[in-house]
Amino acid sequence: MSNLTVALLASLAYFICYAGNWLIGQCMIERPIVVGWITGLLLGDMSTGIIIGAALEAIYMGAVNIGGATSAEPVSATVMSVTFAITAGLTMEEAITLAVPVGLAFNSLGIVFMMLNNIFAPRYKKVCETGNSKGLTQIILISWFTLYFVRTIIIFLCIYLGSEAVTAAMNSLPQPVTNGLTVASGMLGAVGMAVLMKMLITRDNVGWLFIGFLLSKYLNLPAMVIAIFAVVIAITIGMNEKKVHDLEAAMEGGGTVTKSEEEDFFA
Amino acid sequence: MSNSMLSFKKLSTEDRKMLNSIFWRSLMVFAGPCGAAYRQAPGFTNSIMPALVRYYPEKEKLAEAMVRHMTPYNITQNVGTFAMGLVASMEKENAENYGEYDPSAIVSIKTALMGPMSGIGDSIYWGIVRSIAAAVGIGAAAGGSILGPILFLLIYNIPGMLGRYYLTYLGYTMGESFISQAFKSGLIQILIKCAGIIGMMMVGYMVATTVTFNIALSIPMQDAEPVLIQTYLDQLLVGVLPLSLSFVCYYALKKNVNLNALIFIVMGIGFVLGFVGIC
Repeated sequence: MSNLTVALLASLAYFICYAGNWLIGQCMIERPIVVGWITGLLLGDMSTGIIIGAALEAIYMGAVNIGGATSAEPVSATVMSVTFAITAGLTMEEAITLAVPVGLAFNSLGIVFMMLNNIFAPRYKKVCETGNSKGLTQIILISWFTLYFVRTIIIFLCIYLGSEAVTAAMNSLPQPVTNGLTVASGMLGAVGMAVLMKMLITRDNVGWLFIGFLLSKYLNLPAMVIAIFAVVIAITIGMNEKKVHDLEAAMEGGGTVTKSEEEDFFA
Repeated sequence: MSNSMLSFKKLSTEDRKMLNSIFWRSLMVFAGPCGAAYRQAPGFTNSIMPALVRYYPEKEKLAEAMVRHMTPYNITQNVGTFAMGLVASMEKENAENYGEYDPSAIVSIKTALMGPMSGIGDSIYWGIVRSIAAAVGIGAAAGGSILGPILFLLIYNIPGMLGRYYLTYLGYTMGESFISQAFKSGLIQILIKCAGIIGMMMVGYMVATTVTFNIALSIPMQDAEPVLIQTYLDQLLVGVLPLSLSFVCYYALKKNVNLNALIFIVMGIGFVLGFVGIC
């Protein structure tokens, strides 16, 4: 594959995943695990794409668009690291550590793109004031396409112009540097997990993190089995909570607790 | 819930057609934000357009409604359709009692819903459904299996689309009191609490499988092979260092360390430790 073809295919993967995600209800096709798959598929090495995508998924676990604020831009990071892993022969660890600065750089560019969007504000205002319902859909689609197309062009240029330099640099890495990159990529997952913990943790549920950890480390259970354990435990606890809650409500109201048929069945 | 299912049945064919159309159009609610001032307002108006066109056949009234909704909007996509259904029902009220109804209530209720609805949506969909989807997906992707991304997409999107669809109907039929009642009754809190248990177990699994590094140093022994420090650590608890690092990062975030800074710090420390051969 020539350099140009690679750059075109990789930027196509970028556009499909990033722009498509926002057109189809934020359906998560912009997440690294999917972006890696699509990029790998287009470049002819699907399994490398999926492996790197899955590793980046863990790191970027926390990088989600909540309230319009992003912390890093995982799409460009994934596309670039998968592309360079396939075409320049980067190892998985090298590709992952390459992804981090890329994601941060593109995230700061994102603010510029957001400002670019302001050029559509007057059109939007006019469409509303004239009650033009079709015009509204049109302007959304135009602003959608413009925003993501400009981003795609930048990705294209980075890959087209940068691939030779990246290949040369990565081929001459001494052993300690490669080792450093490997350790760094292994540690980075902790940051993604920390973001999730910050979102979910309470004093009551912190113990369940250890249970999930131990089930995996010592029993080597796959994710699906742990998820089933978790659901069963959550439902059991939830039913108890509900019972306590109903009791409390009944005591406050001075009424009696109505027994459901279900309770009789299990009694 | 059974009450709301009953009221779904009472909906006319036109109602259903309108709500289904809102459901589909809501998919592109965040596609084209036209500038920072309006923050997803275009997408919201575009989503509820089937209701606006239906209730305001007159061009002036339609324009008035569209201008009314030029206010910032942001609710987690999969639950935001509740606000859309609710707004549709309020626009209907306004159209039927035009002049007597205060339309500014529509916008203020929509805006008031943003906080609590996003709170529920973010923790259920972002925190929990996505954690499970990612954990199962990452696990299945080992060795480059295509099952990884596919399971990830299915596990996230099936509950996502169901929520999006039913909440459109629920918003239209239940009205504004629904959310405050659900919060007051305490059921939402129980739901979030239980979902948190699932989320935390999956985070535990992911800490165990995705944070990986070892100490490479060893203690020299007289007349014997040197013993790796990692061997001792493993006897204490397998994976104790990755687990500790995750908690240190959590603590740093809790102390408001910037996320990007934290990523660079951890990457820097990891690189140095690997470079000098400690890890």
